[in-house]
Amino acid sequence: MSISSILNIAKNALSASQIGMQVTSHNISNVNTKGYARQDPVYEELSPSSIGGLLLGNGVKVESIIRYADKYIEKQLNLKNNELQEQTIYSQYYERIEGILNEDSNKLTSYITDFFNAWQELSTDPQSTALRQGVLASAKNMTRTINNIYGGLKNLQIELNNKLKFEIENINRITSSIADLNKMIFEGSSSTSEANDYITKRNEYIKELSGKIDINYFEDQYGRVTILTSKGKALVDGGQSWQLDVVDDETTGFYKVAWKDFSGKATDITDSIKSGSVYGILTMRDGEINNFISEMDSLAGAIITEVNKVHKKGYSLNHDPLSTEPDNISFFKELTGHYSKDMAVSDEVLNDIKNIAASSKIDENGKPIGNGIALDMASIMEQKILNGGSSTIVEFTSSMTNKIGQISRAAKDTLEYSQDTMQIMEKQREGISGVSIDEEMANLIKYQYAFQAATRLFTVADNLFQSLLEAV
Amino acid sequence: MRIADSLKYEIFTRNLSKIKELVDRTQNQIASGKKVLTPSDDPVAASSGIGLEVEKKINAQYERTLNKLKPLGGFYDTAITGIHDLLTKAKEIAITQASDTMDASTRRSSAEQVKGIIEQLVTIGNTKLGNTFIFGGEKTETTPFTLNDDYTVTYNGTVAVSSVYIDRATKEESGMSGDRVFISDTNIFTVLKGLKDALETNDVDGIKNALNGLDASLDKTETNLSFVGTFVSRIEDYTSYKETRDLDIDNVISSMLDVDITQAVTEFNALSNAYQALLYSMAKIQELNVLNYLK
Repeated sequence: MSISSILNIAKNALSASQIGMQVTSHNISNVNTKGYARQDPVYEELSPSSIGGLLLGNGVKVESIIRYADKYIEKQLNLKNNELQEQTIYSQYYERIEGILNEDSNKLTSYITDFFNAWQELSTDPQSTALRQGVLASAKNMTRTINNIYGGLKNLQIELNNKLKFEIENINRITSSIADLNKMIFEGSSSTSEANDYITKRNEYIKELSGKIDINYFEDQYGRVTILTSKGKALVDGGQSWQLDVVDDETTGFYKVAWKDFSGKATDITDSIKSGSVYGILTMRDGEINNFISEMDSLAGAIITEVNKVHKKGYSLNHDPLSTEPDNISFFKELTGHYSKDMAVSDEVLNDIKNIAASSKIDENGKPIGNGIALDMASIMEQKILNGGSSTIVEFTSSMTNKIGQISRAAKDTLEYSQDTMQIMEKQREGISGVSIDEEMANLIKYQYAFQAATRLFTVADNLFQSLLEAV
Repeated sequence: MRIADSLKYEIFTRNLSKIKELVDRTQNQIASGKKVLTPSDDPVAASSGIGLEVEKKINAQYERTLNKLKPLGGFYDTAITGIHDLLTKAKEIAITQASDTMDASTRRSSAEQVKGIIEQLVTIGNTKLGNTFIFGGEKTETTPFTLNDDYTVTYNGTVAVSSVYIDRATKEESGMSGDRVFISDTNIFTVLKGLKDALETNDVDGIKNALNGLDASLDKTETNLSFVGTFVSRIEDYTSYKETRDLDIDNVISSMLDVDITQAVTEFNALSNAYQALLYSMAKIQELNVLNYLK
């Protein structure tokens, strides 16, 4: 037992308080850092020394710095994020599709009605060229709108395809960062504080990665994390990461997702991705948008077929008086597919409106009479020409609106639910890991007083030395 | 439970944006006057809205068609009344000239009058409305009646008349053909030609025969007149039916898709209050901070 041991204890106490203050300030400064887990120093008594049969304490040391985190909650949070990011894609893109299909903006049904109304109008004066102009103009409006809707949907698909590539690049960036962090955690596991910050950073990356695809992950005994796709392809193992890539699909012209082994050989894993934003992008691109495009194709195809069928039976103003046969003119271009993409008025009609037929008969001089074709055209609007003869045009477009409305609404609701549950989980996580300024301020004061008290030890020891020196 | 600071702000911003979204929506509703702004706001209403808007458009088309038929009704009325007058005049001539007090010369001069009547009837038969011969049947561009040198008249039109839709699956014939008015049942021109010939040849029996024909012609013309009357009133009825229907559709659309302004404004106020309350509570929470006491 010596006075100098008091100084020693005071020195240890000072540095322990300083560490405490440093950890506190680290916490305070990271109060708004995403995914940060607050840290706390763990104090321990130094082992006592035996002096004269007595065990005397030697003061304090900082044993470690712990990170407040609940691995179970983190895992749940990652799973939730997987769902949330997928739902975000759905909600976002259904809203976009809704915008394209919204009658208020595209006026699709309105233009179709105008077209058949124009035939109605022509039926009141079947030889008129002015009214034929009306038929042509309304046909152009209708085809343009249908083409535009197709274009809008197709552009969304292309956008999603580009987004897929971007997301895959992000995944590669994340997995290689995780591999780097794994290395640093392995190397830095001696200095705990440093490793803590790497772990926090890595957790954020894993959360981000979980948002993109479905993964499995676990830690080895050195704290390194191994990440596999849910179907078992390695993405990260220790300090190594494997790359994903996009490859062109020849049949669709869109990207597929591939996993590359170290030799660079790519394996198609598109179908094994089952959740996350990448899955959302794939589902949206290959499923729902195609469904709406094919609905538009059915609509355009049915109109082309029915209108042409009627029109070909008609006699136009250019009818050859010597022939008794109908003119067999197509009103719309004959197509074999891609109806909504290519729907257009035929060249014959476009170049000469006299080729529009309104009559179903000719008189003895070979002149078209009556308005039979115009009436038959107008009545197409009332016929069940869609969904295998069960829906009229209006029923079809209304049900399409209803469908996108319902889907988009459901997607919004699901997203909101996901956000709410995510918020609850985050609240739980923050309850454990989050920084509370009040708490940190209290700690700061605690360490400050401990520091001040320790400095008093110096004064006391100093006084003791002074007294001894004066006694000499 | 521990409340971490960053979460406090995050929840605050999230709630703030939620309320702002609602405020924005209500504001848009008030500005546009519409309750349903996108299909997802109310998918069923939005899709029924499409059907109703189409109904309105088609209705408007039927109204246009009816408006075209209206003047046609007037033209037929004038024309057939004219025919009736001319036939009555012919009948007077026939009655007078059938009498024994008349002689060959008066009958010959009356024959000239009958020729005039035939000519006027041909003119009436060739009445045009715009570019359309109203008595041509389906051949609206061909002159329906030609007067031959021997005062026989040839009909060039068709028996049938074009129809137009005036409602879903309801067609209305756009008028009457020359065949119906002049030729079928009793051929007015043949009767008048008979009268003219009988007058020229001083054939009293022939004149009496023609009188029977004239009576039948007048009967037929009267039937046609009343047909025109019902045609015109039917058009009127349909027109007013369309107008009422338009109003009905407007009402349904409005109740389904338009915003109830009072309700929207009330909602807007409620949301503004909630918005302010949130800001106020945040300001209050801000004060409950240990830093405020560490001075």
